[in-house]
Amino acid sequence: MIYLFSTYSVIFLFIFLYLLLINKRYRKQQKNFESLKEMITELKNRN
Amino acid sequence: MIKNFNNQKQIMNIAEVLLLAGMLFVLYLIFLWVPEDKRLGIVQKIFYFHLASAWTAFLAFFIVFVLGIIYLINRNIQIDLLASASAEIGILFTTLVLITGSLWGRSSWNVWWTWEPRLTTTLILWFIYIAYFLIRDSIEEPEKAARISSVYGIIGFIDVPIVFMSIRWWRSRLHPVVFGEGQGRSRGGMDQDMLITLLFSLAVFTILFLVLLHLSYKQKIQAAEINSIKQDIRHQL
Repeated sequence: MIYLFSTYSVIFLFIFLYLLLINKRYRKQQKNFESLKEMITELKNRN
Repeated sequence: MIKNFNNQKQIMNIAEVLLLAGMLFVLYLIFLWVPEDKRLGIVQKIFYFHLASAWTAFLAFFIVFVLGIIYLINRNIQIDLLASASAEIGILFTTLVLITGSLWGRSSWNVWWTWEPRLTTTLILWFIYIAYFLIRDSIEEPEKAARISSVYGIIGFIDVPIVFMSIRWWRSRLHPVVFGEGQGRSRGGMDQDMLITLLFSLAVFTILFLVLLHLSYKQKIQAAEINSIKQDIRHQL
């Protein structure tokens, strides 16, 4: 019984961890996007 | 374009609802509806998600293979990003196959691991696609990375049919043949109730794969776009 429940727990845990990873990448991207906006503003000021 | 985006969002919402409902239904089928296997007992129920994970991994690597060919023909970087998202999910599910297989092996064969043909070829498959990402990440130029990883993805796929056929070619005593020829010899095959449950599991895992692929691909596309705009601006600054 313990093997059966371990199996299903591991599967859902890994899928959850993968979703967390995608979410973490989105957040990192959000920071990149902010720095991109700053660069665009700087470029506008120069022109 | 906005209409297209809304359509895509609607399709994803439907897929997510289907996934949630389907997953609950499959869990009901596995734990409450389908009878226990007479020989293996309750532990046989590992099989439904174990095989569905293997199916999803094979599907993911097949998509990497097809997209690799398409990329080499039209050199569209979006195709390559989709292939890399698919490979990532393939690795996730191959990892799950290895872990769940190990748990099943411990309960049925009394060992966590044995160098049996299917286990060995699956482990090789896992290493092949780990190397896929090592190669990608080691090349800085995006187009070169895409080209080389496409070729590698096509060649790496050769191991998938080998994994599938391994128990037939090398006559494994531990892994039964569930479908096709050799069921009797290997004490494989299954009842109709088990088959129905398995088919539902495969369908739900296919939807899960599509949802994860969409999420991962969307993120990769956005990252690539931001990086490309950043580089353009850096050149101008």
